[in-house]
Amino acid sequence: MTTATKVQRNPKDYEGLKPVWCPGCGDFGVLNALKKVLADLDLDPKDIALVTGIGCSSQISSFLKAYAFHGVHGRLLPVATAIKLMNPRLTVIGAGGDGDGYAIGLSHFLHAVRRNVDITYIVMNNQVYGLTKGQASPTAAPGFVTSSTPQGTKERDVDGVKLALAAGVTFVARGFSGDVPQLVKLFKEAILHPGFALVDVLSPCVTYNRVNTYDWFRENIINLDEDPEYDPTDRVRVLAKIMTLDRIPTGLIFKDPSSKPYSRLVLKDPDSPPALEDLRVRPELAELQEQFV
Amino acid sequence: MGELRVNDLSVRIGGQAGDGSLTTGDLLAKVLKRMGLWVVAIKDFPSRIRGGHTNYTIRAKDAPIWGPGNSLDFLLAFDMESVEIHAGEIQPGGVVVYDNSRGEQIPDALRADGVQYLGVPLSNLARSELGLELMKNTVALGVLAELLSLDDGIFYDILTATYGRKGAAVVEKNKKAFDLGRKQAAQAPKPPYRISGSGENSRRLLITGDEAIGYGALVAGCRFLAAYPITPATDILEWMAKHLPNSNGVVIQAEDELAAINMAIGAAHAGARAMTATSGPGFALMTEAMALAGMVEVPVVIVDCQRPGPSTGLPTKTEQGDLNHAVFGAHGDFPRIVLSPANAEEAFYLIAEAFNLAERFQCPVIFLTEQLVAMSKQTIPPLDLSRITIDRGKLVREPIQNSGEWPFRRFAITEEGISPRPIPSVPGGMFIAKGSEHLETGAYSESPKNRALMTLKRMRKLERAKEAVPPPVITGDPAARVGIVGFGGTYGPILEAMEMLARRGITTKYLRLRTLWPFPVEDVRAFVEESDVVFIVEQNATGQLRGLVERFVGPQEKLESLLKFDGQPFKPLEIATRIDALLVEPERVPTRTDRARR
Repeated sequence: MTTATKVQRNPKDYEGLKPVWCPGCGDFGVLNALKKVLADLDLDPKDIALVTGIGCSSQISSFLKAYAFHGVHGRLLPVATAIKLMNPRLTVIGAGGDGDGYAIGLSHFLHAVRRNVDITYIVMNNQVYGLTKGQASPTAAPGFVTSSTPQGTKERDVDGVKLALAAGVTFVARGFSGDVPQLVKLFKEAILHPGFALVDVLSPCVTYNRVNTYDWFRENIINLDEDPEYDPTDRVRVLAKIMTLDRIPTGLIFKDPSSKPYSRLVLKDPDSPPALEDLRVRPELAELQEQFV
Repeated sequence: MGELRVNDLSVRIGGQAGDGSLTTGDLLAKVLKRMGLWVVAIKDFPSRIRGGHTNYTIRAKDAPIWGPGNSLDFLLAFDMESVEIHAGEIQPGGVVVYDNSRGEQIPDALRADGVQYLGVPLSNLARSELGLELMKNTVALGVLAELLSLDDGIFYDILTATYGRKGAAVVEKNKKAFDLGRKQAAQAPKPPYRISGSGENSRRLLITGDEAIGYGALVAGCRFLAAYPITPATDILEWMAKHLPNSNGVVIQAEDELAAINMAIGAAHAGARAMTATSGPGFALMTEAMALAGMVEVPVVIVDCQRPGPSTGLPTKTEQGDLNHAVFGAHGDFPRIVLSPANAEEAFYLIAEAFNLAERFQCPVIFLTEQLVAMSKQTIPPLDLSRITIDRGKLVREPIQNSGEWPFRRFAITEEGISPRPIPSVPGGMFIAKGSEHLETGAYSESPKNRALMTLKRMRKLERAKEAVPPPVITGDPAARVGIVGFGGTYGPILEAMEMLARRGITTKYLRLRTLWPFPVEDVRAFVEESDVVFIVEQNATGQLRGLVERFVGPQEKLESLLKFDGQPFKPLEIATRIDALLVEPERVPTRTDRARR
């Protein structure tokens, strides 16, 4: 066996196809931060499974070099869940938009939180459906006027962070595409977290959302990472705090240090990935017939 | 009194759901199987937990059987509703045993000549002598054993095996209940039955289609099942939940069928053999992702245990109404394979083949069965695991030397349409599994030329699959001019109908499709061409199988549909009678009758 020389990876090693997002799109910040984190963590691209749904942001699976799966709308979490269980050695990252995760995929989101599978879920949250040209998404604030809501939205908006907290999430953070260094920090912690980790990223749509712009977010967010008093391990106090803030909290919002990933609970031998098993017919399984005799 | 009937028996146990009739039926089925008979135990129960009429039919014969018989011999009725519903089906010589604890009497209108009506205070005895009304089930078994002059020994063995884990006291109590039942019937006239069995072949299995599917999948290397509970497929989920983890596999009870199939697709993409199991309503929800599996060329096995639709339909009854959905459902053109087993034995081997076909052709395989097969217990020979092979097709697990090219050409356009399939973590194999139209690498493409080439590439796999899928099974007299075509659980009733027709001088032949898609055009065409008339037997209202035969083979004027869509399985007599009747109606089947009757 030869000893391989350790080569420090750099973000370019994860460069995929050329992004086709609009210039200035918030999703560039996510892509750049993700490449930096993967390099910092020295992850081999072949050992990364990137799973995305449908929408502008879900195209990220083509823009980053990894084993990519670009499935149907709203179902990236079930796909990612099973990939991780069948091969826990992989770093599994799910990424999609707010429509994908909080509208059509909302049920899977809450159940993924419940299962606490060791995957990182990045939601690029821009309050609109960009790929279909600007309809309101479930995270749009009441009154938000779009082509599909000319009188303004009449529904209350969904807050994925609060939902996740209430559903028992073991890691949740919120970042902002305008602050890539913070995204790097949050993504790194999320990937290292042994359980389901949500990072909701405020990722402005520069084409269809003229309200929630970079400047608007800068004025309306509050970075909890900068608050030395803030304790991200007390779920009740975290919820009480963020429910009463008049600004949108960013940073590491909550982390359960005792999290146990689902794969450890359901796999008899988590160190032997079922996906890598050399399948053969096992004659000893004939004994199972006894129950039918 | 009718003539003596030897080793041919149908017993129906009727009562309210939750009464314990399923347990009683299972006990009786095991006893008869242990005696060396072939047994089929058919559940007909309401879609609720307690209350509502339920019945369980245990049929035993000294030859293989897979479905209901033509009539009933015994009825164990725990309430008068059961008598009202079923007493009319008891043939002369048979016995109706009914609970008369509250002085119930069978009105004359329900009585038939030659049938014995034996009132036994089943629940009173159970309460007063044994302290538990539920013991009436075992008392009733004793009554039946006495009427049929069956030995205590096997009953005691089965009672011990069934209740042993609840402790010796429970076993003794059941034996006492059984003896009590015997005494109640000691003075009753013995009906003309002789059940002796051969005493041999007690190694045969008594297994449901659902259990056989789970077991076969496990042996074939399935390591992942995600499913949402739904009758009549739930037993697959439950069986695998018990056994798959021992093989380092995972069973997930998903939040819905959308999640279930997407999970199975994810597991298969990762490199594991993966399956989901559902019924019509869930299968409908899975349709979008089935097309995804077709587009990203992921091998996934989808079991659809059909029940009558549309919508919720009749959740606990049987039908074959999902055929069109299995074959044509979902948007866009993509290759798929649809298989259907005749019974539990074939389900075991065929589900294993489903995994091989899915991986060889990198496409969804739909395993179409139905409530009759899925939930009935059937007697089958011991299963031979050495008949199962594992073929993973073009799965790539070794590093790919491609000098850093990225993305890997996972969807390379090949002559046979099948491309190498690396799994995540294989060096050099990174690609984009994309549900949108894509280039050979998986990169998105709207190029008209590429679109056409890729569509053809995917569909070419189906051409190859035609040579690999299980061909139809043809039985009966090859020279017969009357043909029968069917698939799935109509197998048992059709075979018995053919025997009945043969006794009436009508010889028939029978083509049973194991593969519904790709449709075995040549085999069916040859069969139809060599027949004067072809009866297409299926359990749906619109003749969905006939539709396939007409589309690919024709000719319409040769085809006759035999349909049943009331939720109940075909009885052999229904098939035989309708074929016989149609053959003698010259205006319906001109000129064929004489040739058919030989």
